[in-house]
Parts: sequence; structure tokens; C-alpha cells
Amino acid sequence: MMSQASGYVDKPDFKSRIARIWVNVQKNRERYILVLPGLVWYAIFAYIPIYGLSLAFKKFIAKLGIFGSPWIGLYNFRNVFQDPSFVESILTTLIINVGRLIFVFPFPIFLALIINELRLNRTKKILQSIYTFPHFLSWVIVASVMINILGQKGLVNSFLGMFFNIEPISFLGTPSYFRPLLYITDAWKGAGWSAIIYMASISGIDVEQYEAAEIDGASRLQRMWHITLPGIKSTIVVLFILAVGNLMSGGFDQIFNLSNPATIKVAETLDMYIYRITFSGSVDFSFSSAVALFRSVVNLVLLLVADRVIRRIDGSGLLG
Amino acid sequence: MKNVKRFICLLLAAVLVLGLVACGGKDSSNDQTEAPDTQNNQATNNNESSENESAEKKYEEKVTITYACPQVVEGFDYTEGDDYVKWMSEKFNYVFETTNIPWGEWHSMLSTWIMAQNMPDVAIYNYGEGTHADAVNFVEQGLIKRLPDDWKTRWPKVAEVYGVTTLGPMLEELFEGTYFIPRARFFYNLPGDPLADHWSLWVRTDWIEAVGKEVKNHYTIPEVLEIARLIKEQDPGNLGSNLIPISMTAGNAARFFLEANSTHWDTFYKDESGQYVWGATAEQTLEGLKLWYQAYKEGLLDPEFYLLQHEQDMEKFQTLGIAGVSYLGAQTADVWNYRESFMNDTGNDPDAMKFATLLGTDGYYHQRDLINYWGAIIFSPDVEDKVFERWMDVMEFQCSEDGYVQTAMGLKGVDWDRDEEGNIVSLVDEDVLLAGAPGEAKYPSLGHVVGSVILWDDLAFDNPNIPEKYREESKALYQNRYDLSTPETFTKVDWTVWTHSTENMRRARSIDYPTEFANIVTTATSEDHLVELYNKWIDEQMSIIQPVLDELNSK
Amino acid sequence: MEIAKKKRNYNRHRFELLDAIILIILLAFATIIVVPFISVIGTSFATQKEALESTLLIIPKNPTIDNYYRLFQDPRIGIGYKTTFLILLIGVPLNMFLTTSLAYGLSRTNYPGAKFMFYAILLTMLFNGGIVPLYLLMLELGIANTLWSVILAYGVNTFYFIIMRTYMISLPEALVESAKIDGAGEWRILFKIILPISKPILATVLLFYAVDRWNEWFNAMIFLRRKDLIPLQLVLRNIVMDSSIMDSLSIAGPRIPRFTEGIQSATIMVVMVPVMCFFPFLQRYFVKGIMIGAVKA
Repeated sequence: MMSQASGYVDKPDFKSRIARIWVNVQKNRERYILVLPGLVWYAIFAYIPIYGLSLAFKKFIAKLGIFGSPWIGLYNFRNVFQDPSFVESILTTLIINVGRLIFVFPFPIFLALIINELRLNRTKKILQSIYTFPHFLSWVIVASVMINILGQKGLVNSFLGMFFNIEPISFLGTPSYFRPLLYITDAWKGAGWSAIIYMASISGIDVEQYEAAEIDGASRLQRMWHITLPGIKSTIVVLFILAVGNLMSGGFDQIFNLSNPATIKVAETLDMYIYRITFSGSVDFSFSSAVALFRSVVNLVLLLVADRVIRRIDGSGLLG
Repeated sequence: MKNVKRFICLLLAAVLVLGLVACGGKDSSNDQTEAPDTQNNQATNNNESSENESAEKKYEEKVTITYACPQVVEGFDYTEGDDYVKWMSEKFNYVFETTNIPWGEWHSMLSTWIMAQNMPDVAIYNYGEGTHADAVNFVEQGLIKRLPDDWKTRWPKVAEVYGVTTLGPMLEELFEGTYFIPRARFFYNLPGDPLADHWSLWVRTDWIEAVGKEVKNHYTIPEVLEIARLIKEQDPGNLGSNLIPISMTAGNAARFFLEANSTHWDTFYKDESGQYVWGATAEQTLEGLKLWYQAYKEGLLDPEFYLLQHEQDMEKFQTLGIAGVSYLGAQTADVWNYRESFMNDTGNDPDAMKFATLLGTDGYYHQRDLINYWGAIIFSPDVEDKVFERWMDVMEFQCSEDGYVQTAMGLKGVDWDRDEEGNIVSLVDEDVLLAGAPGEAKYPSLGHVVGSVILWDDLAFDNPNIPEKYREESKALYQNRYDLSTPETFTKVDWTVWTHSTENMRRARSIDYPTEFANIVTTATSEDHLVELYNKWIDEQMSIIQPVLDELNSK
Repeated sequence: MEIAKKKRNYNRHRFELLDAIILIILLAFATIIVVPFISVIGTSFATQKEALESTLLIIPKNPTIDNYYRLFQDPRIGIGYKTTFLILLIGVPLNMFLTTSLAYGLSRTNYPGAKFMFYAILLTMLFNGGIVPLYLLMLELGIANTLWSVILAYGVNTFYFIIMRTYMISLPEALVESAKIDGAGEWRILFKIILPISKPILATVLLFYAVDRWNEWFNAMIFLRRKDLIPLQLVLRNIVMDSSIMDSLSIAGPRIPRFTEGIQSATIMVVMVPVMCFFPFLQRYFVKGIMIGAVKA
């Protein structure tokens, strides 16, 4: 922002501009004090460790420390990209996560909207508590429950066999069922928890708007559409942009526990790839830094693009 | 809402109270009943040993030893928590500060500490072919201690154990100094050298007899499939659709069909022409893969074998009694345990469950000729000499005959003693658990944490706490494996491959063979398709494999 | 008072078709959640054999508290509760202080450097150096192996910061402006005006932080090497893992059967029950309710 400004400001004006900024700083000094504790934390505990990413271009020698380790240029990256399964894993990650964005992302919004419309207050609270339960189940447990339900001798297959006389279907061992399985379990486990954010956002909407709309004779669906949804739009936009900026990562625990040798070909995401590479034993910090850096850069680009696009459509974005 | 809240809080309270009662109850009962009598015995025992061995070292200065390994129970005091450690820490005058390494994070956690140059005095490193590259790193950068050159003369008994580990001396030669002491089996108890692998076939003898086959100590892979086929046809247990003729996880199936047929199925080896080739391309590997596919298609193998994890395959065999064949380690220590729970859970005769040796299609037993070991002991480069020496003394004691028996059977004079002829006699009641979890076992510290130069199983061979019949069975079976193998099938470890630690090799090692092969087996629609998929997979991997082959062959 | 009445009026309506549809959808979703859940609870009270035999365990025929007994007789559980409690007690207030002051401070970016600060914070969401540099930093600061390393390693969660900031942006600007005219300072505005009307988001973020702290284990595993400081989750992890591993390494003697899945399920209950007790107290702030009127006040 500042560099942009100095680009087109004439030299004579520069000094006065500095002075103006200084006045502005003086005026807002309380705000600086307000953000100071948080910024200090970020500077120490987030920014200092970020220098570790420089290992992506170095050969890590512990005795020399991260600073002292010798530079080796793009060697680590060349190594990473030589592996065909790395490139494949990037595609797999994107496919799975784009699907998540389409099928899973809207679900908590929907859930929050209809919970909000429920007029039985006590039931509402109980139901909402229930929806948060699965958040506390680890994926290991969810996976074992899924095997119980979806296995060849599981509940669903017994049901299908009994009523429709269908041969047992291997839901967990068929590659084409794998992504739907991920989306369904993801929504099942996380929707209630994610809905909390939207619920909080809905609570912030001024109740007068509803009253005014009611007087105007708007139906409940109309109110939902014209008041509630716009009221939480900024939250949705922010969460959507952040989700796009996360397309290259996430979901490791879920995929790790729900995948198996039969479905591994559609399940090896970037995280799974890294796990496989490092699980075999040697921990190469330079190698993992290179992958991490690559992933971060892609995520950053995606986030910026998403923000631009949304701002063009909607006028507001994350980087407002 | 209020009711729900109240209910939840009540539930919480109940759980907590339950917990407290459980803790309190168990602890006090254990301590009170056993403490007085052990202390008396221990006192006499101490006197005896100090009289007998007057030359024994006296440790004036108390040292604190920091130590990290898996299986530490945090909150348990490994200096004074039970009589066994109390005896040890008094004898060697140390304070033992332990840190647990969570199983799944063994490598990442320890490496982080080592890399940050902040490791504990002593740690157990999960050394293996896969982690060798890191070991090279640690040694080259001086991140772990190099033992003094004269250590073998100063601690001769440790050196003796170390000498037979094959791995230790090999690494010593490679690194020109000792950095790693593999935790291998114990010197005073060598049933054979090397110790044969624990992986064994588990079969239902009652079913085998029912289908008219012979109960043997060893079967080839096709023989097992034939038995499974008969079991599937005749269903001697009347289990109907619940019957699983062969219950195995993907990992165990790979071991069963591939490793039992050729030890280099997942690695590199020299063929007859002296050139290095990739084991996955070997003829035996494809042969085993075809058998695997056959078993899967015929429904002999669990139709959802790929969903099974950990020991779930064995659970179906042992706990539910619905499987005819399984494949799992048969540690001597476990051959009775398994049968006992089989008997309790399924109500069957314990001897209806038996373990046997699996032979390849060629009729020979295949195994890589490598010592059985579990991690390696390493020291911090900054460890104080007195601490290092003290721990070496502790290990020296554990490598002595008394130390060994003590690690296996508890305190001399309390838990065991020698009769007039010098034979070891157990003084422990049958239902006393010596080592195990706090609250359950008499000496929770025993074994993994304090007795750390040994593997458990070796203690079991001579442990009177296991019925003799099963100990003998186990010994005979392991011995038998040498007779059932040839020098070619008991393959020597190729240290060139093992110690090859280039970038290319690291990537080649990351191939998850059991998963890849299981994927081929489950995807294939016919045997021709299987071969097609297999060839395609081989081709795909070549970009990773070829550079390694080039490197190895130019060595 | 008047507002409360109005609200009640808004809520008192006839039960329409839409209500029925909504209720059915919500109940269906709740059922899908509850059924597997009962299986987890059931498993925690079951024996291994029973769990293996039934496809979807609902109620064990011979309930046993063995799994809980095993869990609680472990000496680590006490240490776990103590450590986690300390982390929560010091950590969560710190999280809330840092996050709210930062979120409010950056909710208006009309002063020099504000945007730059915001972008700089955002960047940390995408880039992080991993555990090794962080551990080296803790060693450098001399707080490794103390609870402070675990508490300070997690100060602000950028995601929660953004959510809170988004909420604060959406608050009517007039509120702040009028307070400024009255001569109130920024801190005063934050505590007297912003925080009271931000209760829904404060409750949400508080809950999220508390649950994150409650679930903390990885940093603690690397940073702490003291046997008297282990967070509950790490303890439970170790117990559950041990229960499957100890078996295969057990030495002779009467084998005590361990039922990993049962202990795991019991663990879930132990982890969840305290959160379930805590949840309703916060819930009232984000289930649409009393707070709304305050915006106008």
C-alpha cells in the first residue's frame, strides 16, 4: 500500500506526506498499543521460525544450524519434482479438495440456517450440542465405525441384502466410492462444529431487520434468503477464501484412516505422499521444507486469486 | 436442557469417581500385600551378593541419567517405583529420569531432539535399513556419541552380546567406531545363530484333521491354499458365511505370499550374473502375486483383507475362532498366551491352535539372515563420562548371567533362586504378572525400560513361567527352520544395499510394497489383467528404480 | 425489558409446515450422528469378543467398566488432567487477550501500517517453518521443557483472529464513532462497547481455543521432557497405543487381555464429557438469543 503510494507522489510532496503519516500515527497511537502484544507474539513465535523454510534451498547440517547450513539452490526442488508420484499427489489433492469445497463447504451454512429457523428453543439447543459431538471423535474411531457400517457384513449391506437382495457392495474398497465417502464423513464429523461460527454470525444480525420484514409481509423463506444469508455473507466469503487458500493441504487424518490398499491410488494426496516418504525412516528436513514451501506458495496464489475473483463479483473480499 | 446438563454432569462425576476408586483401590492393595515380604527378602539378597562379590564396584557419587525410549509410563518412578528398580538404582546409585517416546512418533521426535543437539543422555534409536541415511547423518555431524575405543575391554560382557549382533560390528566397521549398540537378544541364550524370524503360520489343527489333511510343523504356500480350499468347501466349524479360511492384513498377506517365497521381493539383490536387480521384478515375486490373486478371487482370503489393521486378522482367528489360517509373529513368550485366550474366548481346546513354519513354493524356508533386534542404544555426544560409564556398568550387569535371569524373572531370592544343582527355580505364583503395566504387574519397570539391552523373546526360552511343552515346541520349531532352508534361501544381508543412502535410494525405499501389491491384487479382474497391471506398475516405478540400480552396479 | 418482550413475540408463532420439514431434517441428521455414537459408548462398556461379534454394537449384553478401570488406574491420568488444566488456565486467557486486542486493533485499517500488519499476519497462515525451528527457538529462549513453551507456541490462531475481525468489521461503525466523540480511548471502547456486543463471537472463539488447548499434544511431546508435565491428550494417546503394543511384547505370565478399541472408546468419553459440560454455558451466546437487542442499546 505504501509503496504504491510513493510511486506516483511527486518528490516535493514526499516530505509533507511523511509528515502527514506521522500525524496519522500520532493520532492512532493507541491502536498501535492495542495491536502490539499480538504483533510481538507473531514476530517471535511465527516469524522467527519461518526462517526455517530457507532449508528448502539448503542442505541441513544440524551442527551448523539453520543459518549456517550451506545453500544448494534448487537441488531439493529438482529432487521433489523428479518423483512422478509427487506430481500425481498434487492432482489428487486438488481434485479431492475442490470437491470438498463444492459438496462439504455449504453444508454447515445450510445447517446453521435451518437450526436458526427452528422455533423449539430447547430442542434447538440439544440438537446443536449433538451436532458438535462428532468433532471430538478421532478419525481412527470414525474409520472403525464406518467399517462396521459399510463393510461387506455391515449394516448397510445387510439392509440392502435383506430388502433388495443385492450382493454385498464393497463401499470402502471401491476407488470410485472413495471421494463421496470422504465428503459424507467430513460433513458428518465437522458440519456441526463449523456451523457454530455461522450461528455466532447469525446472532449478530440486528433483530429489527426481521421485524421490519415481517411487517412488510415477507415469508420466512424470504427472510432467510434476504436477511439471514446476507447477514452472514461476510463470514461465508472469508471462510470460502480461506478454504480456497487451503486447497493444497488438509484432511490427512481422514484420508489416512479411511483409505486402504484397494483405494490408495485415488487417495494419495500431498500429505499422504509426504507421510509415505518420511515414514520409511529418514527425516530429511530440507526435503520436507521444499515440499512445504511449494505448498505454501500454491496456497498463497490460490488465495489471492480467490480474493480477486470474489471482490470482482461481490465488492468485498478477505484482503479488504 | 437442565436435565440433560444434570445427566451429563452426573456421568462425568461417575466417571471421575470410578477412576479415583480404581486408582486408589488397586495401588494400595498391591503395595500392602507385597511390600513387607519383598523387602525382607531383598535385604538378605543384598547382603548375600555383597559378600559373594566383594570385588564389586562401589558407587560413591549419585548420578542422574536421562533416558528416552518407547514404552515409558510417565508418572511411574523408574528410580524407586518398584522393588526391582529400587534394587537397581541402589546398586548403581543413580537417579533415572525417563521420557516416553510415543510409538508413532519415534523417529520424528528423537530426530528433532538430536538435530536440535538436545538429546537425553541415553536413548533408543529406531535404527533400521530405512533410517540408515539418518544414522549416517548423525555420525558424520557428530550428533551422537562415539564410544571410547577401549570400550570392549572395559565392558567385555556388553561387547560379547554386541559381537554376535552382526549389525553392530558391521556399523562399527562402516563408521570406523562404535556409535550404535543394537538391542538384540541375549548372549547366554542363543538357540541358534542367527535367531529365526518370528513370523509364523497359525493353523486350526482340528479343522485340518476334519478335512483329512495332515497336521505338520511346516507347510508350503500351495499346501496352505489347498487346506484353505478344503476348509471353505467342507466348513468343519459350521460357520457358514462367517467362515474366513485365510485371515490376513495386507501387510501379512504380502509377507505370506511374497516374502515367504523370496526375501528380496521388496529390495535389491545381485543375480547370478553379479548385476544388481530389483526384487519386485523377480520371477518368484510374480509367482507369489499370482497365488495371492488366486486366493483373493477364490474367496479363500478375507474378501476385505485390505481393511484389516494391526492384529485384527489374528483377532478373527484367536478371539472369534472363525478363521482357519493366519500369519503372525509367534514369539515364544506368546505361544502360550495366544492359546490361553483362544481357549477362553472360543471355548476350544488350546491345542486346536498351532503355529507352523511357512515354506515357499520351492519347499524351502526363506528368511534374511539378520539378527533379530529392536532399536539401537545411542548416547548423547554431551553425556558426562561418569553418566556414560554408569550406564555401561548397568548394561554390563544385565549382560551377566545373573543380570539376564534377573531381567527375565525378577529379583534373585524373591522371585527365583537356584537349587543345589544350580538350576533356576521360580518362586513366583503362577498368576503373578512380573512385567507389564503399572497396577497390573509386580515390576512395571522391568524389561523395556530398565532391561534395555535385550529382546523380550529370548528371555522366554528358558522361562519356567511358560509351560515347558510350549517352550520346547517353540525351540524345536525355530531350530527346524535352519534344516528347512538352504544357504540360498537363508539369504545373507547385502550390506552394500543396506548402507546405500543416496537420495535416489531414499526415494526407492519409500515405495510401500505391501500396499502397492495389494492394490494390484484387488484391482485385477483376471490373471492376465493381473500380469498386465503388474508390468505397468513395474514400468512406472522404473524412473525411481533405474537410478538406484545404476548406482549400485557402478559401485 | 421491552426488547425481550418483542423477541418473544417474534418467536411465538404457529407451527407451520416449514417447521415440520426443518425439524425432520434436523432430527434425521441428529440420528445419523447419534447411532454411531451409541456404538462408541457401547464399545467403551463392552468386552473385545462382544465388540468383534456384533456388526454395529448398540448395547452390550454384559456391560463392563473394565475399559474405564484400566484407563483410570494408570498413574498418568492424574498428571494429564493437571497439566491440561494448567495449560487451559493460563493459555486460554492469553489467547483471548491477544486475539481480541489484535482483531479490534486491525478491524479498521485506516491508519498507517495497518494493512501491512494484516497481510503479515495472514501470511503466517500459509507459511510456517515447522517444528524444528520452533523447538530451537524455545531452547534459545530457555523455556523448552517448561509449560510456557507449550502455552506460548500457540498464542494467536490466525483463523480465529480473522473470524473475530470479520465480526467486528460488521458491527455498526456509529457505535465506535459516538464513543470517540465522548472522548473514550481505544481500550475503553474495546472493553465497554465492542466486547459486550461481540459475545457470540467471543464465546465461539473461546470455545475453539479451549478445545484446541484441550486437544494439545504434539508440541508438548517435543518440548516437554518432564514426567510430571504431560497433557491429557498425550497421556491418552500413549495409553491407547501402549495397549495395542504392549501385547505383542508382553513376556510370560498370565496375559491380561487388552481391548484397544474399548479403551479407545473410553478415552473418547473421558475427553468429551468435560467439554459437553462446558458447552451449554457458552452455547447460549451463539444460539440466537438475548444478545441481539444489545446492539441497539
